[in-house]
Formats: sequence, structure tokens, C-alpha cells
Amino acid sequence: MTAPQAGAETQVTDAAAVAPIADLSYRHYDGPLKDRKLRWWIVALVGVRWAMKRWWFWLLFLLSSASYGFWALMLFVESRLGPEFRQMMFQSAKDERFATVLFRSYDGSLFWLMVMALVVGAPSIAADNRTNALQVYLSKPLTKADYLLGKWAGVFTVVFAATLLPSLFLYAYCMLSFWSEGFFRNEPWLILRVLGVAAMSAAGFASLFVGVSAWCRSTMMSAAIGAGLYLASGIMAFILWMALHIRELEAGHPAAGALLQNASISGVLKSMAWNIYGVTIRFPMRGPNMPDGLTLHPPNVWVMGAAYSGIVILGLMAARFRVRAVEVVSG
Amino acid sequence: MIALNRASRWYGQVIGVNDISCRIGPGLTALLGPNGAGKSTLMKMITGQLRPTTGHVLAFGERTFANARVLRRLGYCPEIETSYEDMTGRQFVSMLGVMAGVPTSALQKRTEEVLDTVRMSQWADRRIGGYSKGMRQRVKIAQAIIHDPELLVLDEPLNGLDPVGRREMTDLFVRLAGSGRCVIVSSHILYEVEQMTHSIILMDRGRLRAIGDVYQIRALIDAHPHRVAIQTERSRDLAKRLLDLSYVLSVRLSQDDPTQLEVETRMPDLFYDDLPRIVLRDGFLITGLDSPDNNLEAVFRYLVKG
Repeated sequence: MTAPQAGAETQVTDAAAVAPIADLSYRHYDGPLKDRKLRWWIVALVGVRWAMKRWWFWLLFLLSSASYGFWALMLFVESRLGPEFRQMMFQSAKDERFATVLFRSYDGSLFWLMVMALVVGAPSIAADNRTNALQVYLSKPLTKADYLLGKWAGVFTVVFAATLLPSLFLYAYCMLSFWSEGFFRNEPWLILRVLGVAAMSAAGFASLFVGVSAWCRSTMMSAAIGAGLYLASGIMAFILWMALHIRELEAGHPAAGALLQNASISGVLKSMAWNIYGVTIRFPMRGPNMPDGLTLHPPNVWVMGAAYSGIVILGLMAARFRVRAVEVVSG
Repeated sequence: MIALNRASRWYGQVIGVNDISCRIGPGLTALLGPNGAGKSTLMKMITGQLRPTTGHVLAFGERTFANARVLRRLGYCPEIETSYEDMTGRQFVSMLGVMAGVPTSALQKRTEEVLDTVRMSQWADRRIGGYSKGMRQRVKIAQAIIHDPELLVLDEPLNGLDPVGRREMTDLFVRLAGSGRCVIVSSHILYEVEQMTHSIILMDRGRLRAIGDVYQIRALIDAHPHRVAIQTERSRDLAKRLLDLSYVLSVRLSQDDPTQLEVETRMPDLFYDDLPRIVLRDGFLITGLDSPDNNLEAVFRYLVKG
């Protein structure tokens, strides 16, 4: 090896100066290998990071948070305008005042939460199915349960955070603004209800859309089926409710058939949140058939709880049944 | 390192792997066979992704199916083409490194090392979605070796690579095998396999047709005479001399090239011993000597295509 001639336009890096020919030999790893307990969390983090890098995630987050902002604004206006405005807007028992606001905020955000869960959940397994990427995952010390739990937890975490953060914002606003009006004395367990609703909502959406995703080989198909199930069940329940209870409605009983009215995915989630917050919704407007206004109680918790459990269990079972490392050729 | 004991895998009525028993030790072994031969099924059984319907598949003395202890010592590069289009190559390799058990403290350095090994450092921060097929293949190989496994299973790892890439990866596999690892490579490009190893497993229609050194296997194929092509100016004279040998079955002179003759013999070892003696005694000038049967292509042709 001869040294470069003086004046030659040769740029030599430090490494090259030490060894003119690059060392491209294989380097062994002699460090330890860790046996991680929370292997599923690695899979979940991939999903969470993927969602957080998308602009539409933040747009959907803002849209789903909008109803919390609206109700915070209503509370602010109420605090300025006094009890008359409250009678008009917030007829609720003393110990349900802030729970009602939080529930109605959640109800207003439900559609956007569904869209967010859909765009995060629909590709979760379908994209892996399309590329058979599960082969890569399962060639690592990772079980099928780790993989499934990870995928589920990825969607759960995103929806949970998107539900919880604006709820906590509204909760904090209520706590700081209405401390002197007996916020903690009247509704001491409200924070637990907030956590419960966020977890319930996230688990429902994650199970549904991960279950659908496991059966699809295309993200678009998964999203279409997921959205179809959600919207179609809502439309069907509404049509049936209207058809079967039209006479009661005309007679001034709008609460009739509350179970049927909520016999949809959105209805079940809303009903569960309603039960967790444990509020009675009172509308002050009066009509010829409603001289005392309208009062709505939460649908039966056992029926709705069973329906909710069905959605979660069916979604998880569907995913568990379908997920496998290799495509099996049927006979 | 790997032991298969009467392993079979059925997909409903379709058989993927049929009653295979063999042992695979350290070094580089090529898994060969036409499409549908059962190579991928066998690889998935070895990597613990498929449970054998009957029989056993063991690695390091343990059953492979969904066995985390085995998977920790195993690296697998599947045949899939695309995955995780939104991740960068570095994120992809690093994520799978974490799953393989590389501690967070060593992850960055190790990721850099393996990306360097597969010549991907330069493009590691680009999205996989923008990678060529060859680049994807390289990051897949990188994720397979990140935890420095003792057993490396590579399903068609040279697909999509350019000639330089093929050579680089072939050299890498040979180096890994040379350091005592068990490297199993499936390929349908016989020429490349021949450059890598002489140790083969030949499969056809789910069955094991041959296992071992390609030359030894060829020598055992008695049904097909061994052909030797010789090039000399005095081809007719040499043909006469060779026909005097009792173990020479036929000598054929080429019509296109009068200097070319092809000899068929059932005893190639004896033939190769006698040929130099004849050449020296009668003063033949040999300008070319080749055995079209003494290669992987011939073994494959005889055993698979009949």
C-alpha cells in the first residue's frame, strides 16, 4: 500500500486513515439477551407511534375533544349568567351536575372516537395479514397472545388517551371553577367514573376493530366492514325503534323502547357510559304531550352490560381464531 | 443442532411435508426443491411457526413450536416482500431487536452494526416504503442477525438482490456458517447455492429426496451414467482409446464442434484415474475438460425431474 501522492485530491476520513479498506466483517454480539416480560407492549408501541405520527390523528383528536370544549364553555356561560340559564341548560340533580356534563361531552365525541379507533384499528392486523408480516413477529420470542394483546393494546391506548385527556381537562376545569360549590362533596367518585368510561370506550372500540381487522387482508376492507357494522347497527336500531314505538312516541313517551333505541354498537357504548356516570338526563322543554318536560334514565345496565361484553368477547375471539403465522391451504 | 424425526405437516387434505427425518448440523445447508416442494413449510416448522402434524422437530434439543427458548437463539428471514412501509429501516431492525431481547442500552450500537453488515447504514433512515426489493431483503436479513443467533433460517434471501448484493450476502452467510452457526438457506437458483455450499437438502412434493454433500449424492445416483465432456483436436482418436475401457458406456462426438466429445461412464472415479494415463501415453492435447453431471444442476435434474 503506497501513500497518496502529494497534491492528489484524496479526502481521507479518520476511520479510513486508520484502515484504508473498510472493515465490513461480521461483528458478533456478545452482550446479554433480555427476557422481557411485557413483550406485547413493544407491539402496542408500534401502533401508538404510528398513529401519533399522523396529522389526521391530531385532527380527529381535536374534533373528538370539541364537545368537551363546548360543554366547558356552557359551564363558563352558566357561571356568568346565573341560575336561570342553568335551569334552561343543565337540569340535573345536585350530585349529577358535572357527571351530566361529562356524559354529554362523551356522547358528543363518540362519533369522532369511532373514526379514530377505526383508522387506527382497521390496519392493525389487516396490514400484517396482507404482507404475512406475522412471520417476522412470531420468529422472535413472542407468542400469538403477545401479538394479539399488543395489537389490541395499541388501539386501546390511543382511544383511551383520546377519551381521557379532554375528559380530564373538563374535570379539572369543573374542579377548579366550582370547588366552592361542593364539587368534591357532591360528586366524590367522578374521577373514577371518568377513568371507567375512557377504559370502557377504548376496550369496546379496540376489541371490535381489531377483531374485524384480523379477518381482513386489506386495510380498506377492514375499515369498510368496521364502519359498516358501526353505522348499519345504528341505523337499523333507529329504524326498528321508530317502527315499533311510533304510537308511544306520538302519545308523548319518547323514552319508550330505550333498549331497542340503543341496540347498536354506538348505543351500547353510550348506554354503558350513561350507566357509569349514573346520570338522569332532563330536558326542560315542554310540549302538549310532555307537560313536565322530558326525563331520560340510563338503559338497563345488565342488558347493556351483556351486549357490551358480547362485543368485546366476540371481537377478541374473532381475532384469536383468525390470527395465525402462515396461511393454511384448505383441503 | 436441528433434528427432524418423521415430521409431517398436513394442510387439511394437502400434504406439505411428508415423513421427513434428518439432522442438520452447523455450517451452511441449502434447502432446494421446485415450487411446492415443501421448503417453506419445513422452514416454518424449524422456526416454530408451524406445529408438525405428526413427528417431531427439535432445535437445540427442544421442540421448536412456539418455544421462546428456541426462538431466542434463532434468526429468521421470511420470504415476504413488504411490511411496515411507514417505518424506516433503522426503526424496523431496532424494533425487532428489542423483541429478540437485545437490551435497550446496546440496541442502538447493535442496530448500527447489523445495518452496516448488510450495507444499509446509508439508507437506514429512509422509509421502507421507498426501498427497492433488494434493500428490503437486506433489512430483513439485518433483523434476522441482530441478536447474533446460533441458528439462521433464510427463505429465498437472495431474491431481489443485484449481482453485487447477492455476492455480498452470500459471503456473509458463508462467514456466519464458518463461525460455527447453523445457516439454512432456501433458494431455487442452483448456481448461487453451488457458490455457497455443497451441503444440500433436496425436497420434492413434500418428501426428502436427498441430503448431504452434492458430489457424494451425485456419486450415489447409479441410474444415471456420469457424463464427461472433453475437448481435444484428435477427438476421434481419443474416442477410440476410450471405447476400449470396459466401464465406458458410450462416446459421442459433437456434430457442431469436431473437437468436442462426450463420454458416459458408470465409474467416474476410475475414469478420472485412467484418463491422464491415456492422454500422456498417446500424446493427446486436452484443451477442455468438464463434467456437466458433477454439479448441483445435474443432481437436481436426476432426483427431481427424473
